[in-house]
Amino acid sequence: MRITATQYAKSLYEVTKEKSQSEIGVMAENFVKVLAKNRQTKLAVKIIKKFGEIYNKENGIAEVEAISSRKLEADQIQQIEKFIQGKYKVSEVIIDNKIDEKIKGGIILKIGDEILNGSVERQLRELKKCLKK
Amino acid sequence: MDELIKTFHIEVNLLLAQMVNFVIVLLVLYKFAYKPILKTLNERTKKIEKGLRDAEETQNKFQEMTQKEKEILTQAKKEAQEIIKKSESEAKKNAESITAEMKEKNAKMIEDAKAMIEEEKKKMLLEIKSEVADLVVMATEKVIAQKLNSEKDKEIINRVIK
Repeated sequence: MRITATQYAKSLYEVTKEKSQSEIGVMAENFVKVLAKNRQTKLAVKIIKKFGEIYNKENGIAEVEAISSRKLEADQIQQIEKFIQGKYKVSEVIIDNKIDEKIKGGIILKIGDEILNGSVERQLRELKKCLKK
Repeated sequence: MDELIKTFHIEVNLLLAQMVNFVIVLLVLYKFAYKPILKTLNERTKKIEKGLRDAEETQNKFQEMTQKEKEILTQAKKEAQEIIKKSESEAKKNAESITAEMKEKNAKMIEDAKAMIEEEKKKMLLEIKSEVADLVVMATEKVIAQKLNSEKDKEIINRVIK
């Protein structure tokens, strides 16, 4: 049976947790060797992504992609951090602010598979849908 | 007897001879005249009888024919009348059914036309709605583009993360 990226990521997390930096280095090297041996190096990108997700979940970290039409100011970022901490019960929030003028205002928050769309563009779209009914 | 013979000068020999003569004449006549005449007469009688019979038969036949003719004519008249009656009733029936069919067709056509108009109306309304929606959204977009400064944007974002 082939091992999936999620399984690789889980086992990698299990062996590396609570280990020192140097130990992790050795383990990562070994892990890559195992992958090469199993001829599954293609899975590397997926594994890295999954590992990130697992690591964040286990350590109470939330990675947030915040899309806005203007660059967010420091106080806004703080507010968003608070909001995410309260909503997802996490201790640490990493915010990646992306600028997209197409959303015309407001904000879109992407946390894992969840999307919180508070953009003006969405509101306009809904207004249009409502009017066409 | 003798007296009688004397009075009338009858001579027995002569009488006998005359009798023989008479018999001979009678025989000859019978053979050559009476028989053919009788035959001819008989034939004529037969012919006349046959003619009469034929005539009667012809008369009878004629009468029969006349009767038959009458019967055939009556029958034909009756049949003709029946045919006329039948065709009349059929024509009436046909006319009725055609009228009914036409009525039905007309009703259906009207119904279809109504449905089409209704459908068209709905389509148009939908199109108008869609166009109005596009216009409204376009206008709103323009207004937002002009009026949405960073302060307002902040307010919107704050509302989202509250």
